[in-house]
Amino acid sequence: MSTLSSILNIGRSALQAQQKAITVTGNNIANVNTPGYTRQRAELANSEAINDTPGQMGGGVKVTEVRRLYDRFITGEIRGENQEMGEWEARKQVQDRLEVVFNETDDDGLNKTMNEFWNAWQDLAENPGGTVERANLVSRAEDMTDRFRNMADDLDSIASEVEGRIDQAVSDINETAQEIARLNKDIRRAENLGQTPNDLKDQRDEALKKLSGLADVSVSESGSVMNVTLGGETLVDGDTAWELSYDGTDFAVTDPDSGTTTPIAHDDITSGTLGGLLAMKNDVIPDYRDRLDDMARTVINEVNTQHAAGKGLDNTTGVDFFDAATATPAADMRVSQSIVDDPRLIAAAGATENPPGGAANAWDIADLANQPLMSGGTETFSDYYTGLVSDVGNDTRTAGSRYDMQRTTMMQLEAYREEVSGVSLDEEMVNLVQFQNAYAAAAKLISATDELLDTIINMV
Amino acid sequence: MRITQNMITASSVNRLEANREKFNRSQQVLATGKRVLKPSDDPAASKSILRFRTRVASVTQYRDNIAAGQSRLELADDSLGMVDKLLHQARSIAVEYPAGYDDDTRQTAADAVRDIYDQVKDMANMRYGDQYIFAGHQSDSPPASRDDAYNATWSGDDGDVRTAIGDGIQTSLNAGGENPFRTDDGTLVFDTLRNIIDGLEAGDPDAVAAEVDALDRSITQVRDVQGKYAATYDRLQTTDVHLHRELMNVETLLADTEQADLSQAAVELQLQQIAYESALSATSKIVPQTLLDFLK
Repeated sequence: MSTLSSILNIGRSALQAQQKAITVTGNNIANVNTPGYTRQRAELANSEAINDTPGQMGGGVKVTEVRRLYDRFITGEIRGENQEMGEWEARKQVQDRLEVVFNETDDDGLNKTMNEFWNAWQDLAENPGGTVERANLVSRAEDMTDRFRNMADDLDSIASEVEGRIDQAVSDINETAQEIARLNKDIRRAENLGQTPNDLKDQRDEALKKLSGLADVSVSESGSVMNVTLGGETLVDGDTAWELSYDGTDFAVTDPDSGTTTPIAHDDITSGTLGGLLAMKNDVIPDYRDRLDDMARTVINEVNTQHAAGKGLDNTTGVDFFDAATATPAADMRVSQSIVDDPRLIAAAGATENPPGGAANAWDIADLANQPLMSGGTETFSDYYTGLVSDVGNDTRTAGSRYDMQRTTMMQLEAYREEVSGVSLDEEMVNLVQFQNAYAAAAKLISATDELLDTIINMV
Repeated sequence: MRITQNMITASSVNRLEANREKFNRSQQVLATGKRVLKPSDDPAASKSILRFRTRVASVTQYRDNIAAGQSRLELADDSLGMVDKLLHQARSIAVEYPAGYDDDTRQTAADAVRDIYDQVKDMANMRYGDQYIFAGHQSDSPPASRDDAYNATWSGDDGDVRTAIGDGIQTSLNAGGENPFRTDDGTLVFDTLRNIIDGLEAGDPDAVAAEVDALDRSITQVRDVQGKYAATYDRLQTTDVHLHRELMNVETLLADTEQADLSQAAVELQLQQIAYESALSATSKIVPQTLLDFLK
């Protein structure tokens, strides 16, 4: 038999349930701007009915669970695409810096100083005894060597910046791995106690997303924990995070418990910020640098060989115009000090000619600009350098468009995730009004029951 | 489809950024007048631009070489023209003398030939800039000098003075080093002139008359060399016309590749401004609105 107190109980369950639902709504509204937050919903169900005549009577309402509304597949896909985006973002940032080094469009780059250098040899050949022409040639040669050295220095400093960013990425990865391990532990404990740690799971998803942007990790779910491997080796195992370390070339992970260290070759890390930075450091920058060095070395050797064959104003022969090429010829390129000190040593006259009027050697050196001396005797210096600039442009363009593409993909996935998991204020407002009305109605039920009780009490 | 606040914000921000970027790029294109601002804007075009620039630099240098070569040749031609005239004067004197000069006239004639000698010597020592143009490779010192007895010394050599007028193409500016003042048999024009002076001083008409043939050979030599200079000059002229045409072509190509179509860029800027302003105004209308505005 139903009693008045059971009506009070129904009212109470309704008040509690609507209040919980309002709390969940409030929490959704509060987290409308929290990155990675998944909207939650209080699942309402009617309580067990009470046996009665003529049949069971309803027992009120209860909140069975507070559920996260999310699509686990989209979360995995976002992680995958985020790796690609991290890689191309890093590559684009470095390429943008590199492009500045090779920016010739303002007409004051290496190409121009090289043209001026070869033309200065022609000017000298026109007046091989002229002191002004000799001094001018030395200045143009110094402009060119300065440019070579600046470019080599710029490439080196970009490379060392990349190195610093690799260190930063490694420490970010370790920090994030530790956060994931800690969240794994908290989530496991909460679930063992029968709780649903929705907010912790949001935080863990966000941390996993961040980690996937940093390197090519793969994530596997095992019960209530997420395990992570990097380059095929364990990074997070349950509530333990392995320590990633970098020795300047390769990587290793160390188990903090046993101290076991497993190496990871740098080739095994190909995406994420770390993969992008490694590609720039190990492939792209060394390639540009090698080509610049190759050109500097050939200029030095060809000019020196031809120069040594000629005669200076005082009949001296066998003088080097540039300092001999070192192992890093672009970074060390200099006009030889004896030439700077005494431009009379510049060998304009050919071996069989009389100075100061002989200019055959100066013409021969000027003509090196037209000779196919690069790329195995197929390209002139200018062709070769132009090819390098255009390759840098192409690489930069590719990195930029890959990054844009990846960003668009990510935005679409994020939009899809938002569609399922994002907080819509309009929707929450409607829910709030709905729950608020239900709460008011439940309160009305209690006050009506109170009146009923009053009636009975007053009868006595 | 559920649309959330975050989706609206993200897509608005993205659209605004994209519009702003295009707008900014159009502004840069208009401000610089260039279509290719960095290699990645158009890698293929930036390759062409550098090639064209290198070609412009080389062709300009070749044209400078030609201009300098032509000035030098003009100076040499003028000098040799003067030498030709002077040698003709000396020839008339040498031809007329045997017809009978009195002593005064003979002395005056000898002085005249001395003057001619020195003027020819000055012409031989002509300088272009700081180079003695007839000295071959000994271009830093005057090639012709004499002692008090008018014995000449020629200190120049037959070095070839060349200039480049194209990739790997050189041409001689001094007829391959051929000396206009020395005939094929090795006689210096100054020696011939000295013999005439000596003949006049000694009153020996036969000795003077004997030098007329040598003088004629010297005149022929001067004219031969002059003719070679003229041929070189013409060659330079023809090459310069070609180079000039090439330069115009390359500069046109360079401009076509590198420079923006300004009217098109201006129209694009206008369109992008409209797009940007529309995006701004749409964003300002959409973003602030929620149901909250309508709930009491």
